[in-house]
This record gives sequence, C-alpha cells and structure tokens, in this order.
Amino acid sequence: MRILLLGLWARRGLNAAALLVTVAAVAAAVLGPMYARAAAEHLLDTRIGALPLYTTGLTGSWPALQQGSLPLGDPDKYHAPQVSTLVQNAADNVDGPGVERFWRAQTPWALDDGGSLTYQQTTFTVPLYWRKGMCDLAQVQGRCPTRPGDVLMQATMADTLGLGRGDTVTLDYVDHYSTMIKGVGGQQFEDKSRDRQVSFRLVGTYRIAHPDSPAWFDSTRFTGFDNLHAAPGGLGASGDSSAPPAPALLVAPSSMTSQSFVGGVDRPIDLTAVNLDDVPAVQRAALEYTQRAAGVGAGDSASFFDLATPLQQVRAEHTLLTRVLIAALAPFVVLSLLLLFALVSAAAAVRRPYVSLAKLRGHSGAQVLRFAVAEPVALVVVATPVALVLGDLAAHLAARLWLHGDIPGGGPAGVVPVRVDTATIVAAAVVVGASLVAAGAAAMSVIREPLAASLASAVRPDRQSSRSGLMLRSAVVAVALAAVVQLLTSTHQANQLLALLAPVFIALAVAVIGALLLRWASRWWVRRTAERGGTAGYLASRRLGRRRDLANLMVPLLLAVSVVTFALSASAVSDDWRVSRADAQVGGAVSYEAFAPPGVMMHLARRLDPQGRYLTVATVDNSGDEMGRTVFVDTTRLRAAVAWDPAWSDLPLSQLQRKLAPPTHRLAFTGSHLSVQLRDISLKSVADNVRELWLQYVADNGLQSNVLLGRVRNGDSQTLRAFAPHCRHKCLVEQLYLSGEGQSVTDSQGRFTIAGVRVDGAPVDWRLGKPDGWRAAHPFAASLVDPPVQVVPGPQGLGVHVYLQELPGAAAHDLSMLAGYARITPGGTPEVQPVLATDGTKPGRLPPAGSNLAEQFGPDVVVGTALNGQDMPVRVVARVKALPLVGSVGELGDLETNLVEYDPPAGSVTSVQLWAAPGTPGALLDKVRAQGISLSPRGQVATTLAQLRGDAFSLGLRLLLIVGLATLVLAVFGVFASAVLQSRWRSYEVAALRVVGVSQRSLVRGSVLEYVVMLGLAVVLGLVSAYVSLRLVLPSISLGLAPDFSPKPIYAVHWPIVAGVGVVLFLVATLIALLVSRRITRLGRPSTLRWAEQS
Amino acid sequence: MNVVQIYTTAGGHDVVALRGVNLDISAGEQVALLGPSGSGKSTLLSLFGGVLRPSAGKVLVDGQDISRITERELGKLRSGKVASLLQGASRNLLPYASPVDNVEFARLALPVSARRSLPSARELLDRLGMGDLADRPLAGMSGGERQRIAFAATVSSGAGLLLADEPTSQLSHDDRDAILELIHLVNAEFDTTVVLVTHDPEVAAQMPRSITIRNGRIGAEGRHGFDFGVVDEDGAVHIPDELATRFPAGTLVQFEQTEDGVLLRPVEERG
Repeated sequence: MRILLLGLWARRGLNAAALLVTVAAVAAAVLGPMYARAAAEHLLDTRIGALPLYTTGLTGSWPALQQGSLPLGDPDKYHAPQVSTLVQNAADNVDGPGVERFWRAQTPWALDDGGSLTYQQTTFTVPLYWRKGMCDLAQVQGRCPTRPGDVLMQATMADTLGLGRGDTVTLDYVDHYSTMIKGVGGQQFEDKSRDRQVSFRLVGTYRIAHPDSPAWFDSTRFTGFDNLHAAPGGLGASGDSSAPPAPALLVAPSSMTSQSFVGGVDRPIDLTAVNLDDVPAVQRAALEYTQRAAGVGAGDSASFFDLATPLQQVRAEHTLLTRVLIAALAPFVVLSLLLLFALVSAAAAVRRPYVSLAKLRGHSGAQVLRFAVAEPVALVVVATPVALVLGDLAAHLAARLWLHGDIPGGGPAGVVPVRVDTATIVAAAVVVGASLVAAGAAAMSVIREPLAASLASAVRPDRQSSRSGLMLRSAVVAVALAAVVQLLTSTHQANQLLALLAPVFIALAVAVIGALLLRWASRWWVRRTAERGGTAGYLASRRLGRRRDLANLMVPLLLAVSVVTFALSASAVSDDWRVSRADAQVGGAVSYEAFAPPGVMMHLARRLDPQGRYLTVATVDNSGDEMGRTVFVDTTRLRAAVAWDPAWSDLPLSQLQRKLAPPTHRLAFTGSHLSVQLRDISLKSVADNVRELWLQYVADNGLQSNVLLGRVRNGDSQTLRAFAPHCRHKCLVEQLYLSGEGQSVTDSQGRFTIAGVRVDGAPVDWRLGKPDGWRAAHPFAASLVDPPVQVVPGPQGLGVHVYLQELPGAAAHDLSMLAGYARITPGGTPEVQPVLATDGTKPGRLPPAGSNLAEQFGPDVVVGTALNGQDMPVRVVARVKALPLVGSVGELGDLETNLVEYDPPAGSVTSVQLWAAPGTPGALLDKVRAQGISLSPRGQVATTLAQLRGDAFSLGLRLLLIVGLATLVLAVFGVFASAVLQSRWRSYEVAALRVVGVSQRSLVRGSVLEYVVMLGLAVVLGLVSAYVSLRLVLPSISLGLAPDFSPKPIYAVHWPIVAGVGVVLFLVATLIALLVSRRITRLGRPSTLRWAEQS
Repeated sequence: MNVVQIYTTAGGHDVVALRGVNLDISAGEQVALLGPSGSGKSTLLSLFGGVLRPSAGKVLVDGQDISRITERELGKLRSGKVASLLQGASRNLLPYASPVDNVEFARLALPVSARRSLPSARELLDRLGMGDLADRPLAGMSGGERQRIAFAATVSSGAGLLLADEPTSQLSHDDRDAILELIHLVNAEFDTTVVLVTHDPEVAAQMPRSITIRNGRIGAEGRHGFDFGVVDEDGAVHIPDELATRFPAGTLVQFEQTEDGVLLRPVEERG
C-alpha cells in the first residue's frame, strides 16, 4: 500500500486541487440537506412562534356552573366550587403522552367576565382574573391579592376612577336561577335572574409591561380600554356595539364566587421539543386534543386552536426549500465532479507511464487497478471526513448567522437544531460515490489502453469525438429544450424543481452549442488569418480550431456565470418582491388598526400632524373581495406617509397624489345656530309621510354628523332652524337631504327652493345660486346616472326637484323607485372619483343595462365600489403595478372625497388604519391614544420584511446565491488549473515555434488572444443563457408563498447585475489568459524540446 | 521463432516491420540486436516480451508460444520469466520512489513465496554494487546511476530472460561499461539470458552474439568477433554493408560454386 501511495506527494499540486474539489463537492452535498433541514426547523419555530400562543397552545376550561344546573328557587342556593376543582377538571382534558411531550407544563387560571361597571353612561365589562404567578408577571404597586374580595386594579383605570389602595370598587352581577311553574303540560322550569352587586377592596394597582409575554398566554383575558374611554362612535374594541371591556381586576382564587367564572389551564407549545420529525406526532396530539375539547363541550376555549395550518405551511415550505437547495447545489456538485474528473484524468495521464510500467512488470489486473486508483481513491477517502466536518461546520455557521431571532415561546433564541439526517447521508454517499466513479473512470481509461500503445508514445493522443459523446451533447440540448418547452406550456407552477434546474440545462446546452459554433468560427478565422492576419491571430485561431477540449474549458465558466447571474437576478427580483409585499401588506412604515370612525381619524391625523409628514389614515372594506378591494387613503399625505414601492409606478408618487387630491375649496361654516330658508315648497307623497330636511356635515372633531334642520311643509316659505354642535371652529358641509321621519325613507315628489342660509343669524354664501354650486349626491338607489333629485340654481336660490316616486325619463329607462332620499351635495366634490387602479384590475364593472354612464361622464368612467360598499362612478387616472393593502388587484381613492357621499354606516366591517411614516415620534401616537382611540399594531414594514426574508424560498435563494458564487470560484479555479496543467504540453509547441523564429511577443499575444476569445465567449454565452433563463424560467418559479392580494413579482432583468458579472468575469478571464500565456511562453524554450525528447 | 509483424498506420497503410525472422536464442546466451532505426529490432524485442503479438508465426519463450497465450498468462510471464528494460531510465522507474521502492515495485507481481526466495531489494542492490544508492532520491542521481537502478529493478524479479532496449544510449563511456558489466554479471551469476538492442557496434562487440536486423530481416550475425551472413528460409542472404555499393539494387548476379564455397559475381549487361 505504501508503494501505491508514494506518488501522492510527488503530484501534490494536482492532488491538492483534486482534494479541494472533492472536499467542496462533498461538503456542499452535506451542507445542502443540513441547511435545508435547519432552515425548515427554523421555519417551524418562527411560523409557530409568530402565532398567538392561544392558537398553538392548549387550553382547557371548566365552568363553575354546569349547563342545566341552575339553582332552583333561590339563587343563594348556589355555592361556588373551588377554583382548584375546576382547574383539575380542566387539566384532565389537556393531558396525554403527546401533550406532555410537546406542550409545556400547565398554568392554572380562573376568569370571571360576568361583572360590569358603568362609568360616564357607558357600561364596561370588568373581568376578574387570577393566574398562577400573575403578581410576579405584573408590576404591582401594593400587595398581591390573597383574600376574598382583594383586587388589583390596572393603574390607569384606577386613576380614571379616582380610586386608590383601600378603596372599594363595586361590580354588577346577574345571578341566574330557575323556578318551577305550572305549564300546559304540567310542571316546567323557568329561568330567572337577579341583579346583585359585589364590592371589592383595592389592595393595589398593577401595570403590564409585556402583555405579549408567553407567560400570559392570552392577554385578551385581562386587557381592555385602559382609561375607560369608550371609542368614539360608540364602537367597542371588536368593532361591535357590545359593552367594551375594561382591564381585568386581578384577584385571588377565593374571590371567584359568581356563577359566571371558569377555571382552566393553559399549556403553551414547547417549540424546543417540536422538531421536524415530530410533526406527525404533534399533529396526532393536536387532533386528539381538538376531538376531546369538542367532546367535553369546551369548543369555545379551543376554537382558536389551529396548529394544522402552520404545520402544513412549514411542510410545504420544507418541500420548496429542499427543491431550491437541490437546484442550488446541483450545478455546484456537477461542476465539482466535472472538475474532479478533469483533475483525476490529468493525474491519470501523468501516471500513465507508471501504470504501463506496472503492466510491463507483470502486475496482475487487480494490482494494476489498485495502483491506478489508489491515489484518487485515497484523495476521496481523505476528503470525505474533512468535507463532512466542514459541511457540518458550514451548516452550523449558516444556521447561526441566518437562522436566528427571537422566537416567542420558543426558548433560547438562535437554537436551531442542525443534524445529520438521512437526506444528508444519502447526498454525501451519492457525491462520494460519484467521486469514486469519476476517479475509477479516469483510471480505467488509462488501464484499458493497450500496453504497446502506452509504451509507444509519451503523450496520449487526442481522442476523436465518440458517438457516445455526440449523443451526450445532443441529450443535453434536448433536455434543455424539453425543460423550457414544459415550462412555457405549463400553466401551473407545480414542477418547481424542473424550473429551478432549467437554468443549468440551458447553460449546458448553450455551452455545447457555443463550443460547436466556436470551432466552426475558428476554422473560418484560421482561413482568414492564414491569408492576411497577423501571427498572433493566426496562432490563436489555429489553436482554437484544433482544441478538442473547448467544451471542457468553456462549460465550467459558462455554467458558473449563468448560475451566478441567474441567482443574483432571481435574488434581486425576489427581494424586490418582498419589499413590495411588505409595503403592500403594511401600508405605512408602521401600521395600526384604529378603533374610530374614518372621518374622525382623518381629522385627528390632520390636526396632530398638520404638515402631513408622519400620519395618514386609510380604510379598506374587509367584507369585500380580496381579489379586488378598494382602499381609501387620505391622499393629502400620500407621498409622506405611505410605504410606496417606486417600482409600482413609472410616475412619481407626488404626481399620483395630485391626481387623487380631494377638493380644496369645501363649503364650510362656523357657528351653532343654523337657519335655512325655503321657498316654493310643493311636495307630495302617496303615503303622505312627514318630510324632514337634514344637514350632513363634518364637525370640529372630524365626526360626521347629521342634524335635523326641520320638517318641511308645503307652502310659499318656511324657515328651518337647528342647532349644530361642535362647529365652533369650522364644519364642512357634506350633504342636504330630504328624508322621511327620523331619517326614514320618503316617497316624496315635487320641488322646493333653498333660498338662503344663516349661521348664528348672519347670512352665509352656500353658493345656492351658482350653476356648479350643488349637484345630486350619490349613491342613487336606482342607478349611477339617474338621481332622484335635480338641482336648478337660479336667482331665487337653489331649486330642488324631487322624483322619488318616478324618476325623470323613467319611461325611457324603465327605472322607477318608490322611496329613498333626495340628497344634494356641494358641487366642489367631484361626482366621478379619481382612483388609481392596478394593472391587474379589470377596467371596471359595466354599468347597469340601459345606463348611459359613458354618455354622461365619458368613456373612461366605470363602476367602482365605494367605502360603504355602494356602486360609484370612478375614473382611473393612472394604472400602477400594485397598491397598499390591495396588492396587485384593486383600486385606491381619496378618503375625504369618498366620505362626502359614501360614509360607511356605524357597525360596518370597515377597517380603519393609521399609517405612520418612518421616524414618526412616539409622542404623536401617544396623542392619538390620548384621544381615547385604541391603536392596535398591525405591522411594521421592517419586521414584515424581515419575516418575509426568512421564508423558505428567501432562505433557499440566499444559499443559491452563495453556492452560485462558490460555483463561480470553483469554475475559475478549475479553468485556471486546467490551463496550467496543459501549459507543460503547450510549451513544447511554443518552443518549437520559437525555434522556427516566431517572436515571443507574437506567441504571448496569440496565446492571450486564444484564451480571451475562448473564456470571454464562455462569459458572454453564460450571460446569454442567464438572460434566456431569466426571461423564460424565472416567471415560472414560485418566489415564495404569497397571499392572493400580494403584488405580483416584477420579472425585470437587472441589467446592472448582468453587466457587473460580465465585466468582472471578463477581467478574470483576461487575467487567466495573461497568467497562463506567460507561463506557457516562459516554459516554451528551445531547451524544452530537448527535455521532451529525453522524457 | 519465426514471425512476421505488420503494423497498420494511422493513415490506414500497412507497414511490414518484420518478415520471416527465424531466430533461436539459447538459455544463458547474451545477444545484441543491431540495426539502423526502423529496421525492426525494437519490434522484435517487443515480440519477445509479449508487448506485441506477431501478425504471423510463433514466438516461443521457454517452450511456450507467447503469441497465443492470454493477457493473464502474459502477465505471469512478465512477472517472473521475462524482464524488459525500456529505452530511457526514467521509463523504467517510479521517479518519486527510492531505488529500494522501485525494486520492490518491480517484484510486486511475484507470488509471496517467490519473493521470499529472492534476495531483498537492499541485498540485491548491494550485490549489484548499488548499495550506496539504495535510499537516495532518484531526482539527484546522474543518468548513469538512474540507468543502473533501472537495470537493477528490471532484473530484480529473477527473470530468466532480460530484454533491454538501448540500455547504454545517452550514457557516458564509463556508465556504458558499468551497464555492460552489470549485464555480464547477471548473466554469469543468475544465468540470465540477455537480449539487448543497441545502435552501438562497440556494445554489440562486447556481447558473445550479435544479430543485425535490416529491413525487417536478419541481415547478419556476429559471434565472438566474427561476422556471418544468415540464410533465411527463402534462401535469401543479405550482402554486408561494405559490399553493398558493389551490388546496387537490381544488379544481376551469378552464383558460382567453388571449393571454398559459393562465388557471387555481378553480370555485366551487354549492349
């Protein structure tokens, strides 16, 4: 064995290169699966960890009063059970081997949300809450409640109520009981209730520093409006009109005495115990828990539990990640093996005389084989453990660098298991096996050579292209074509692996075709240079025409250039898309859900941020179709406060802002006492209903208000008087409308004239006689173009013609209506709202049949959806690629404009959001909260972007990029090594040329030209194949999981990247050409020929 | 042996390297093959070593027709019976290995028992006068020293037949003599049959028997300082070089039997 390996050191350069390449290939094969698995583990942790604990943790609860067990006859017969008993019952339902393994130890709690308290005419629900260890979690001023009746009150709430330690707080409770009554069929139970008050003694106050702490499990049990200010508009935190919650009173278990309390336990998921292999077991345990919860009637407490969705998502991302990694590592490993084969072939060629000598010495076939393969096999044997260790280290390093971050409830941050699994072992075995095959194949080519042939010539003659080689090249081209055709014809993104591998196929095909073309071109070139070219050109073209290793030298560089360009561009496209997604998802740098009417929020934001630098308000109708939502934003600060990706539009945002701007000169008044003078009142109705005239305006505080001006009676003249509150500064007139009694609908017909308006006794100019002063206000009940009211301005004032029973022109349009409102609005508000629409949004819904929308407003006006869900005419003033909140399908309009006519009714599902620009002072947001408006964080662009960049495809692309760069380095190294290896034989030719008088300068120039043409062409063709891949393949690749309303990726070719790669690699190619050429000419002296003869 | 060897060139043309060579070499003989370049002497040596197989005829080594045996049997033959010394010392050595390692490498093909019966590599080098070179790296040796090591490695397997191709070319006179001395030594000590190819008449002269190959045929044979023509199977005889000018190609000759032998007389053409 020693003799077999004696040559290892003698050929140390070659062997070191082969060792390095083998280490790289095996390490990459190990790194890939290990990283994929670690990334999947990271995804598992982050996906689950990012979810609220109550959606992934187990909760069991047990009510104090079981259903159907009301005290009979007397509510005082009820005796509250011990909390510990309820907790025990609840704990029994949240147990089991799977639960013990994957969920943490249970924490007992008790909650009573049956108590209430009335403050300033608003009734608040005031829960009692006990949780084991709560006094350690909260910041307590005073002492922890230990006796019945002891409570800790939230500090701000205590301030608001003016209570302190030792004071008493009384809550209202309702006790239920049943009595026996005589019914039709005999004795029956009847449920009754009794109000009761319970007083508690404050033993201190508390504050919650970290309500999101996993120790609290579900913060909604104790949080509420911390200052007991009901949200403006009377909406609760949940957007409904139920009693808003106040912060819970923290109590001792012994204070739980009512019928309405429940005892329970929480078990947050233990992310440190849940690994990828455990997912099926976790799913089984979760299913058992869900079934058991449903069985014991604890469905409510388990209704939020949903572990299946994130687990399925992680599985899908793991699959995607694995595919990305295979695609990332495939070219690297293939290139490594190709280089390894080239290097061991070169080494085999060097050892060829020694193998011949072994044969000549009569060594048996097995001995010759051992001798021939000993060195390359030894290299692989040495490289494998080194590579395994390096791959393992690299995986740990990558996991440490990339796969970290705080994982809520996930234990110590940054602990991601990095393990050797089956995939790793298989990948390593495949690559090691392939390396051994490459080594064996190279050795066999020497072994198979007849002894006479190997002894006859020192240099192995170039082999002609074999039929198998031709078939292989044809197969490469065919596979590339098939892959591209499949991707182009496939309508879905199912075959991601094929898509990801397609760039490699394309690069190989281009390399094969390119080498062929270069050979043909060089033949033409050599004919041309033979006739009238210089010596250098002739030498270069002659060598290029004769080289049989063109493909071998071009493939690595071309492949690497293509892969790295594709990876860089794909990463850029993917990253741009993630930025776009984050912008679209969040809306502003920071986004809050605001529990207040949109007009109030808009008014408040404008008041607190008059320069429009930080805040803006947006609304979106959550009940709408996510595929085509409309978002309304206060566009006066669109440019400053909206997270806008410049790629969304070619136009600057300031220009778009101008196109959407709200009316600047709105009708306003200041004062409280309004009087409206009517003339020539002639109205009738079939039902003879009462008719009322109302004013809709925006008050000082931004709240949209309606004030009854008065009942309208027929006659020559009538003056209506009303009090308009909150108009001391400036109120904006939005609408005047005629309704039935108490804003009910009316079927009035006829006309009246508004002759004048006075505010606080002084006449005001409401532009009643101006031609464009007023118009019919939308929405129209029958159609978009048939208002039930017409305005006729004149010298006497504003004539209002009401057609609520039969619309004018009804015969022609066959449109009629029985009842509704007759609304008019100042003409300053555009009737057709300008909107931005995304490219993916349809031109607009067609107007109703028979409508002359286009005739009335122009062909570019279509039907849109207003803030209140009504149809409205819109004009698309610009098309953009995406919009905040709606993504790639939807529209954006001005909020203020829309509110004039389409203010959503109270209790609607409209989401009101406050968007804050980067650098918004915290004090500004505090001022918003100080107005009693609860702001619930929706998200931040930065954190959302960080999360998006941590998804499977992003993590995979990162590795694709790194491996692509490694491939490039390997390719450059391989090309350089191959060129250097050949330099010895090339030097003989150079020496011969020098002997016949060719100048050294011509020889150097010829060699440089040859290598620059060859390698430069490889770079250019690599860029071409990358471009082809980017155009054909990239759009077929899923860049990650995205919600339906995400902006679509913009598959633009990033030319700076392409140009940068091209320039850098061309310089590298030139450097290689210079170094190799200098070496060849340095070695190629006349004395070289003598040496060659001797050897 | 009686062989014909035909090569097919890369251009598809057949080249006759040897034709009707009939040669017997007895065990223990020392034979030099002489001849100009391309005459076929190295080809003949390759046939002896089984490196080439004859196009026609037989090559018998130790009574075994090596032109008909398998590669495996040829391997066995090369491992123990026939040792080949290629032209150029470096082609016979692993340049990265020491002389001792080279000797051991040459013996690897022998069965273990056969190896044990032979003197160790170091002993062999000692016996051949190269003990001082045993552990020296080949890279630092002179051409003559390397050739001596190559010779030692070649004969180390104890083969009965030594085939040496130009063993003294590009060597100084001293080194040449040293090699010849080694050849005589192994012949004397191990009774090794030696067949060497050389251009050098001085080298050939030091061999008891020399055979001159011309145009693929045996042209002459020298024994103990005397040169003889050789009649081949067709009855053809090569005219010695020194007489060749008198018999240009196409010359008509008359054979006249005399008491001492046969007189070869050119016929002068008339008219």
